[in-house]
Amino acid sequence: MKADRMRLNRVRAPLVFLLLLALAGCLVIPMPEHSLKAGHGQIKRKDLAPLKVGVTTREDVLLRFGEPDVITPDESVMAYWWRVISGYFCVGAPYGGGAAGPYCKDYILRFEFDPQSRLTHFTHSGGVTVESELTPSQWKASAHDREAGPGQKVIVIALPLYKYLGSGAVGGVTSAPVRFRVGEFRYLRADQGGGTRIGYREGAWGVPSAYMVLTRPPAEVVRSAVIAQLEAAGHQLVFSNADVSIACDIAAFGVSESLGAFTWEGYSVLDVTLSIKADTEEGMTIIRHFQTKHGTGVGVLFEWRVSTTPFDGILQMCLQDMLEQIATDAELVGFLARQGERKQHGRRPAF
Amino acid sequence: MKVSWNAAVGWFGLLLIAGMFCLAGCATPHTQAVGPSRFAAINELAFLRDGVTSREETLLRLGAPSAHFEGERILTYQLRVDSLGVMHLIAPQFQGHSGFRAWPDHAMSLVLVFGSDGVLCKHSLVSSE
Repeated sequence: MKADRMRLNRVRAPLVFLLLLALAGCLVIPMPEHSLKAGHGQIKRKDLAPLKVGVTTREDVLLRFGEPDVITPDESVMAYWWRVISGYFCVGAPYGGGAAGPYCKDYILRFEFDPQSRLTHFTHSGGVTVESELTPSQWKASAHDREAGPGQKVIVIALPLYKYLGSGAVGGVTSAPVRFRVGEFRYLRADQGGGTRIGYREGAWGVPSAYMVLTRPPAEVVRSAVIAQLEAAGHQLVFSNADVSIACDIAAFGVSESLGAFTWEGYSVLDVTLSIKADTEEGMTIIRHFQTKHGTGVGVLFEWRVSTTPFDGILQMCLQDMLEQIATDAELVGFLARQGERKQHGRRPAF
Repeated sequence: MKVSWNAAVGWFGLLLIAGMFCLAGCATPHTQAVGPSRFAAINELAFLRDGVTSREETLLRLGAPSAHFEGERILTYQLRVDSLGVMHLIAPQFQGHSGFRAWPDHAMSLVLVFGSDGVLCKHSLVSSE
């Protein structure tokens, strides 16, 4: 019995050796598809059952699957893309070298629509090279790529709208609230590189090495902060029959940096001019100017490269400063109070 | 202790099969619209009401959309909700090599459809979980 087993092993060993030779040092382990490596999420074939060519509209597809991954400029084609792990590989190499990792499969769900926004065709395809079926040049360009220009690095600073920051607005609540509407908020530097660019990182000889962009346009962030402050003070945002309307010019909202031999310091500035107009026959207007500047403090040169956090922090400090200035500006608070009293008593305010 | 060749191969096979079953349990996130209760739990979106909310109010509250379709009839926003239940809007990001959107983890897609009068008529929030 023992002799038989030894004989069997003697036969099996060369077979295993030959098999390993055939695999040439590569081991591939297929697995059930699992985990999302990229894309928004998986869309199964059964999810497509309700779709009907000629009946389903673009609106139906968007409501069901959300924002697509790619869209043609004329919106006639849009597609959803996702990548899942479908197995693992292991490659051996001499002298302890080699590599191992997951291998992936891409899926693309592509929809085509007619000029009446009705679905004309859709395909659900999967494979290793499916991404190349779609030519990148046909899709709408990245907003951030447009901001920086081709080949330039971009640092995206995630500055949430004030509403979603913990601190929010400051100040007490007025006894004479007004109904305010929001007019135009203009970022005056928007022509110098686009809507969300707020500064650049210096490289050697002062040449920009990377552009810094906000996740939301500066005018939107400031507008959101101003609305927050006024609502926190008890005033009400309305879209018609307002007591006052508010517009704003943003002369500066950005970051810059100062480089020493071994040190670095970041700065942020905010410069806004609010124009508040009473919606009365006289159309009384007051203009208030708020400026603020913050620095990160001097840091060691090589520390700053690892994070954009200092920029987030000093920009938020500037916004918070502006909120406090608005809350404590006697002229502005008085003007709004008079408009509120006028509304409460149904008479013209005494300016 | 001496382990036989057959036993070693058997154990390896068992481990491989067990591993495959474990990984099969790591389900791929599936794209689907969230239910009304989950939507209602997001305070920052409480102002969205079909037949009531205007496009103007939406743009003032949420800012510029991440994409718009059919003019501005359909607006979409990318957002995520943190562990405290607070909503954060996300600006769309793109992959440099393909031009495809790069979705952060736990991102959701808010789709708002407005009527010809500029009033919200349908909305949905799509997540992948």
